[in-house]
Amino acid sequence: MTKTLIALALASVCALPAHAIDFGKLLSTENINKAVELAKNTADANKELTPEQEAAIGDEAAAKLLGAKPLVNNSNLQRYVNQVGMWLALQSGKPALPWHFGVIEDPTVNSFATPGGNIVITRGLWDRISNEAELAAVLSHEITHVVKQHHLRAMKGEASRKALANLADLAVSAKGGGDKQKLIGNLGKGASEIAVRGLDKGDEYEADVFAMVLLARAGYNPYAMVSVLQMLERFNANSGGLEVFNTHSDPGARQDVIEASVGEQLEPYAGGVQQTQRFIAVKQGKSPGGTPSKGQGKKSGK
Amino acid sequence: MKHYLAASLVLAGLWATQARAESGSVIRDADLRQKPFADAAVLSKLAVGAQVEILAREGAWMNVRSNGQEGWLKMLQVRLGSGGGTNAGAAVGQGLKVVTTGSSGKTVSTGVKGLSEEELAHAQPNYGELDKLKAFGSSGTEASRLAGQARLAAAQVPEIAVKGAAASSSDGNGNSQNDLMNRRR
Repeated sequence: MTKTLIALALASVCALPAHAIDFGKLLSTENINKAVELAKNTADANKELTPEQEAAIGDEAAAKLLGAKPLVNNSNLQRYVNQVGMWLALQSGKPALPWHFGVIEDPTVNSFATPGGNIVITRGLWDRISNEAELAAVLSHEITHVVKQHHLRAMKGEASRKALANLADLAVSAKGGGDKQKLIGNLGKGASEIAVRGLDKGDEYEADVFAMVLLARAGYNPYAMVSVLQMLERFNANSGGLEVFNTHSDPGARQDVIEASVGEQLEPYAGGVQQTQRFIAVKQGKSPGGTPSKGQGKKSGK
Repeated sequence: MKHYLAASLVLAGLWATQARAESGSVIRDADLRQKPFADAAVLSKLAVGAQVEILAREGAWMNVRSNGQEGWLKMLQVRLGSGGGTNAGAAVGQGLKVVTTGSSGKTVSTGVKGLSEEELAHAQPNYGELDKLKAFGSSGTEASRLAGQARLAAAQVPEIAVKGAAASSSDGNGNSQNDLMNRRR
């Protein structure tokens, strides 16, 4: 039973299981031609997507996610997560992707990644993170999903042939000038099969382990990943698991996998950065400091 | 009277939750050390299942109190919660709908508040908000400069292979698509 609890806890966050899911569900009709190409590629030959295709698909998914929940109206916070996220992405082996990071106005504890490099965490998660290394751990986990193209693999693997076929149909309709709203509705149904599934459990493990490597590469204490997982367990125990968003795999297993895979190997880096002044400043509602005031005036229109 | 009783039960419940929140159990026999170093003096041996109160974390270590004795364990030697308890059932009962969705028969737990799948499904794409997301982006140059100010130094660290994942694949909560596919093949 404890296993179940932990599983639920992890589901809510770090596992950040929602991406593959959302990716499928969030796709809409803009750039749908590119979605067709995706469908063809994945269904036919598991061909690699071009970076442009990946980014286009990811932007659609992100737009839909942001349609559900807008960005938190705090430019200091938004700029800060981009500064931290980009520094991590630079160490990821794919520094040139169009990386963008954001915090959305949602009380649940969750985070999302789309293909192409859009990564979003909820305000509920931000509120529960206690230092920059923990933020970096969450972002690194998501960055790994993007770098390793886990969502795309999930689409192929989950045999969303049905969903892919629907995508292709939709794309055809879109070309014919079909009404956008209706198409989105159809897509919601068509992609529902894909939408309720989490990422491959193995992908989650990989994201945890590679996230720790990324943390070490970026100068953070890599074991912040473990403390995030434990924060999630604690949070969920306290909340009665109310805010769990989605599916997830056995959680005890995730720390077990970290232990079996990483164990003490990264302890030479455990003295890395844990807390920063900029994190504290942003938590207090101030500017991260040392940042150009560029974008300061770009308040949310909300 | 009834009222008082109810109130005290609620309080007791809160306390129990708090206590759980701060505590964990040792997942295998472990040495409680005086300091967060592998070669620090061993204060005592904690047996698997030993309850610890978590006081702080530092690096790969966790400062704990067990049986009134304070010391350090590796974070990975401890799992939160009381270990082997039945709290999960209660949590599910209280807050979660666990539903089986789709033809795969996978178990999916759905949160009852906040951003829901339904909201996502019905959301209209917001391209203005997407533009805003993009506008907040940081360049590699800026991110590096600010990382330097935060005393973050890049290091060469090779990738680490995932190990030990197979052991857990029999868990009923598993959502491994690979597992599913392998079984089909």
